[in-house]
Amino acid sequence: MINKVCQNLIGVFKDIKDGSRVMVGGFGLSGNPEYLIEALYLKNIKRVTIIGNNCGTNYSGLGVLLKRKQVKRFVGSFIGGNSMLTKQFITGQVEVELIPQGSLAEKIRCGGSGIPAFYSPVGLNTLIDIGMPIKYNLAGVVIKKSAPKDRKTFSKNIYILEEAIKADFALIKSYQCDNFGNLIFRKTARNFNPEMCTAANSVIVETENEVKIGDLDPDKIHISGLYINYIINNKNSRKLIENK
Amino acid sequence: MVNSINIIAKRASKELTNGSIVNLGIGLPTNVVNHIPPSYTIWLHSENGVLGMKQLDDESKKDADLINAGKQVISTVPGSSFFSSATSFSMIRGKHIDVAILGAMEVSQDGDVANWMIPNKKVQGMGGAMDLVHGAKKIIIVMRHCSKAQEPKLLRKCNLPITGYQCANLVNRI
Repeated sequence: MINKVCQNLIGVFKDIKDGSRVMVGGFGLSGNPEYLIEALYLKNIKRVTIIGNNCGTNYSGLGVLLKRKQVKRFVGSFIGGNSMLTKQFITGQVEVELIPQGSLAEKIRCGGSGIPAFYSPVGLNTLIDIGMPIKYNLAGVVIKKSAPKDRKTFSKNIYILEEAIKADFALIKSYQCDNFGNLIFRKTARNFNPEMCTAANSVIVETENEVKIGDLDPDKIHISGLYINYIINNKNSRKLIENK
Repeated sequence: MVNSINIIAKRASKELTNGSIVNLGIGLPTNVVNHIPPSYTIWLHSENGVLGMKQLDDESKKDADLINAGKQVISTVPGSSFFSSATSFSMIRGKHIDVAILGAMEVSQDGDVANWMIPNKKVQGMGGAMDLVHGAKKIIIVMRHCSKAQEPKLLRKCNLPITGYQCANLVNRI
């Protein structure tokens, strides 16, 4: 059997190049793969597209990548907790593709399930449907917008076509992981992590607890190990709390 | 001085029926919790993946793996469950949430809601708001009558980018 457990990140990160598309699990600072985010920072990988619900805070999580201008585009639903990102966005230093949170989750789910696109009622007639600002210039003028969405009517209701999302890499945080990569998440640290495991070419898991094959009850496993390529053990997550 | 937040939250709480599944938005809507009759069982849903949450009452039990959509540490009630974001929004889009209570920057007379962006000023993103206004069976907007700049927030037509058209069923304002 292939040994997916890695002692260090050298082999794991060798393929992550400048310009890669990287999905990162987490909601706020909960369920973040902290060690893997730090590795993106330490390796100074540039022009990355980050796909995740939020992009950390000004000082923590994915925010550290923004600080060093490593991010070309952020794809997610909420940037309110990160004033640096908001400022970089409206002054043309970073592109932001805002997507309703549920559409983001479903786009990722579809990306991992062989569904190229789906119809959704969410965002009809809003900027999501007709063209969302993605890039501003230095003066704060919109210079790039998303393309208008295709529409279709089902049972007299209009829906918009949302395309699936895939990535080159997914950085995942799990509570438990066996040597095959079977995963168990904990509480609301689950969030986007399970679906992201399915939608990237290479999936790297940072786990709090590494266990032997057979130690996890198959009935309790949230994500099958078939999706997972690399496993990194990190018992020492800082697990920051964003809002007290 | 009368606390307007309490009046709004109390009024909104009267719309909830015993046993309902309720999603409370960040900010003013979270105050509704304080006015739910003790005899009621209300299942609070948070879109980051929990049904059956409650406010944290014991600081020593603070857990970074257990937060609500406002990123506050929370606690759970017996019978609660956790699920992924994709499942959570299937619950929302699939009309399995009875009531969503949201704040707003502007609401129009037709029930259009704007609460995610002020062009050139504040781009915070829609988070789960666009999904909620299209998914929950009943949408209650709670807000003050005027903005901090004393501009009316309940309008004939919204000026700000819209979160959802004709989606508010009830506006609670003061």
